[in-house]
Amino acid sequence: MPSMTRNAIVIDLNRCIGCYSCEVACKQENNVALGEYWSKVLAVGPTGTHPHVEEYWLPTMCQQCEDAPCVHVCPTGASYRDPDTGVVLVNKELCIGCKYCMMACPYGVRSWNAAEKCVEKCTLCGQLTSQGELPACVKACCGEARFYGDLDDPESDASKLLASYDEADIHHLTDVGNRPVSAYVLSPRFAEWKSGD
Amino acid sequence: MLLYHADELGLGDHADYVIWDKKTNSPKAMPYPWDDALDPELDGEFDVGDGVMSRTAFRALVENVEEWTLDHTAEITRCEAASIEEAIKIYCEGSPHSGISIGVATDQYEQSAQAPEGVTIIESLMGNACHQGNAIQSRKNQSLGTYFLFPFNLFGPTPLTPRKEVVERRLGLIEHKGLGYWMASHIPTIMEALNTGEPYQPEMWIDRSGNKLAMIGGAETFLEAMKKMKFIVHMYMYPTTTSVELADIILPTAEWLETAYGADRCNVWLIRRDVVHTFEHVDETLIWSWFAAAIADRGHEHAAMAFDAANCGQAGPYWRTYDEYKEYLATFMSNSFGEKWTWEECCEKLPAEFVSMDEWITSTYESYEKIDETTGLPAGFATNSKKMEPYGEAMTILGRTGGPTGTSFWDGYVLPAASQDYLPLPKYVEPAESPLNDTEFPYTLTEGRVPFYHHGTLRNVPWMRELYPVPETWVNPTTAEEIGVEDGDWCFVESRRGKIQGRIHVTNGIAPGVVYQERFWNPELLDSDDPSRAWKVMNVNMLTKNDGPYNPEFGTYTLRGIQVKVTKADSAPEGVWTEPEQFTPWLPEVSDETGGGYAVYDA
Amino acid sequence: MAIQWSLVLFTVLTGIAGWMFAGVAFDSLRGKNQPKAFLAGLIALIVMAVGGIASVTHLSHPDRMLAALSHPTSGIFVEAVLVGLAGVCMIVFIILAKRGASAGAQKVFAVLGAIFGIVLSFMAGSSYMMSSTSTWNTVLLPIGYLCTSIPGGLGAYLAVVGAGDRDSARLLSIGTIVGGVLAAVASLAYVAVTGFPASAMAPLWAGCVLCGGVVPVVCGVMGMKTPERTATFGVVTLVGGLVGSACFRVIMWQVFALAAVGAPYITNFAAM
Repeated sequence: MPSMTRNAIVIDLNRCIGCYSCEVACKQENNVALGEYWSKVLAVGPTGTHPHVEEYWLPTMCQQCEDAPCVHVCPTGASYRDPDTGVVLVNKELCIGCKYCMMACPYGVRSWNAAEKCVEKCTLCGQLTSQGELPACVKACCGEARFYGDLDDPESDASKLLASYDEADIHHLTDVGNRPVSAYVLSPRFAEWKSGD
Repeated sequence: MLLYHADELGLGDHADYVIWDKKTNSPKAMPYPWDDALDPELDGEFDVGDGVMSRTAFRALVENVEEWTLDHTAEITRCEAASIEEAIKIYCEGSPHSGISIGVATDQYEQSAQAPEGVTIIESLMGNACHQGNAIQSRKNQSLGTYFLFPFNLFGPTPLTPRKEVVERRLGLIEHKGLGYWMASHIPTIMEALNTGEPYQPEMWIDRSGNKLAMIGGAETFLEAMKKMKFIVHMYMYPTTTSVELADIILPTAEWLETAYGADRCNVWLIRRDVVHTFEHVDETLIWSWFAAAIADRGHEHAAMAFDAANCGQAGPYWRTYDEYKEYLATFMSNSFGEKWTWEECCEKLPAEFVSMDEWITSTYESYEKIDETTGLPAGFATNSKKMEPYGEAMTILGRTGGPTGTSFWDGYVLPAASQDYLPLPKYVEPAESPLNDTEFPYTLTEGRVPFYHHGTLRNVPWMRELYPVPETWVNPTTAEEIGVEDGDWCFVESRRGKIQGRIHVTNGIAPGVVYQERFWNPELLDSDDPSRAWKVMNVNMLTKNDGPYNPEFGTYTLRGIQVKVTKADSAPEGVWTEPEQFTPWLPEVSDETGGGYAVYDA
Repeated sequence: MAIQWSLVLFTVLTGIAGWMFAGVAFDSLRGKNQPKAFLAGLIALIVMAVGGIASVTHLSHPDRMLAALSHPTSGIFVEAVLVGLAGVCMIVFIILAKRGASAGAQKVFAVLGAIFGIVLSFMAGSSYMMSSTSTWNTVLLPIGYLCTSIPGGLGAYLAVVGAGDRDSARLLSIGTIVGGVLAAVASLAYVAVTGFPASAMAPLWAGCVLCGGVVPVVCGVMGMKTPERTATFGVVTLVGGLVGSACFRVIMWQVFALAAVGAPYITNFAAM
């Protein structure tokens, strides 16, 4: 049954300066161990031949897929979609550690918590958003490039950011049938999108 | 203009410069700001009387740069001529709303003064100053480049102004007068004094920076020189290689979030409150104050005077308590609002705008045209002629006297001249180590910053080392092939002065023949039998040079733009941590709350 | 990805158990080699059980295993059910065989167990068919899982029953020949479709083709020529089939790749 809310993070790569604050803020907020990540920034490029090069930074995390493969393959229902918020989550008490969800995620954005021996990933900082605050990565972004909200609500920050751009500048990671909800904005005057559809 | 002051040709006042008037075919004084009756010739060489020939400044500039065609520039800069031309066109077509920004790279080699001189000339020619979009603006800051703890002599003479012989004793100042603006000394001259005892033997060094052994060019020679100091104090947040190798005493200082301060940014006063205290450390401001107090208590006259406001002018006296210091900060900041607030009030009211953003932005636009009430003439710029001076005679005056106006910065002394004149126009000089002729060390080394680290700090923060554990040696794919290395390989980088390691990162983000590596030191190597390896194994400043040639005006040695060679290495230097889990020992551990800085301030 | 050995063991052993039990069902239907039916069935059951236990060692929280029955669409659920059903059939069969009871019921449970076992040998591979991957998302993967299980399974059965019945020995030797060919071809087909990655080449040729293909074929031919040595050749076929089957699964882990551009972004598959 389709979710009534599609909460996700939308990132304006035209503004992302590759400072890695989001990656570190996530670790601090969520106590993610050294060597494990819920959020990771990748440098895409420099592509081209010096000096004609371009580069952009791609912050990655769970894309909150509408048809999440991690939910499909989970044998215990530990990987599930919250019916109220639409957020894809892991119930760590049910996780048996089979790691199928890690293989099934098209983007490889799930992480193994070695201490608790279960799978983890971005939770969209439910502990913050339920108090009316923004996810840690959104708060930390010094380029004001990250936007959070329900993409089914035109008044949300995320929706408004997308609405301010042409369709042609809005991109998603490769869709293999999972329908990622998170979106990226990248305009040609900065760089050519190379990270998916 | 012709290269004379009007009084030198009997044409007018010293402050007026001379032009060649096309209408009368003769040299004429150009009064400030302008005389429409005159028609100046921009380019030429003229007889100013008795067969004495003078070029116009523009002609002097042209002759100074005429070898720099697009093609020759492209060859030396290794940029494409077409790209250079395109950039010039963009810049010119955007003028007078264009601007050129130069960064730290040009600050860190022998021509550190010449680069901004060249930029100033271009900006002057295109009128790119004090308009929307320009880099050169004239906004009134509330602080002096974010500093508002001032030397006593900053706003004019006070009883604590240093005497002339004290200023002249500042090592390297006479030769490199530009340092006088920062009241700084010249590092190599200090080292020379330490090594030779001439002109005198420095004895004590109090360091409040993080890790000189990672940051100073030619670090190894720096260490040897510094060991000749009799007494070294290192005040910092945690021990670094400087502490371990050199310090007799280490004083723990507070980090930014543990200190009170403020900053004016654009039209806003921001306040920095000490929101956390991790252990019993002290804001370095108080440490300096307490030094002064301790010396004062032992009878040092000037130190005692520094605690009496009557002697301190606008800078205000030193502080004995942290509360006194905070009240000073509060007074200074609230002054921008025409008020006098306490620190508590500042905590409530700030951040706040002291002027509207629009007013702050536009205050500089065409500000040079604003009429100065005392003269009835346009205010102009803060130069000798009140005009933009692409022909930098002020530099020559600086070198001969200590300041662009003829006397030294801040103190107004006429200092002995430097050994050679500073030139009014910049000329490109091939670096001492040049890729044009160096076959033994074929690649040019440059450095630069990455987002994870700042100066010498943060190499001991697990979440930063996790992101960028070791300094990368960036090479272009063509260069990588020449050397025989692939992405991720360990390598040696070697100069005439030293040999270090790095980890290869192959990228098109750097030109062929150029190598980049960030300065680095490895805290994990401190706890070993040979702690000096911590600042040696991967520290780019083992390769840089601190000997001449120096920039004449500021004494800059060459940190960027030396020649190196790169060879493949089998492995990382022993003991270096590279994997995230290895940094676990540095994760924070909770300890007992013993009062933080206030345990000391209030003691 | 790092080779998940407990899962390799799980699928190798359950695959062999399933096809071994296919041999049991073959002879049960024909009424041949019945004195060895109990032993062969028991061994197949033990191998199935060991394989099942191996899968549990892959888990970090096996105590939460029962929750695995809550999500019917997951491949793991299906595998668990098939292991259970095949195991139950095997248990019932060997009880009936031991008691010499109801030949008709024995046949039913033998055939059912064999079907469950054979389907399991396919499903064990099909659980890995995920749209997220570029190298696993092909039906050639479960086909390979199934085919590479045949030689080892039939070889194990022949090792137990030998040439007790000459016709069975001959027919099952043909089975190992066909199984060997299928195993080799299926392995080659899968690796071809994934683009012959370098990491797959050694286990492919030495493991799947040589041990899992050529050895069963040669042993099958030799077994038909010298039927009195059927059991011996069965053992060699078992070993070859085991190696070939294991190598096919190793290849799968080695060539794991995600389909999305730039992926994986976070997961450290090498450390799994």
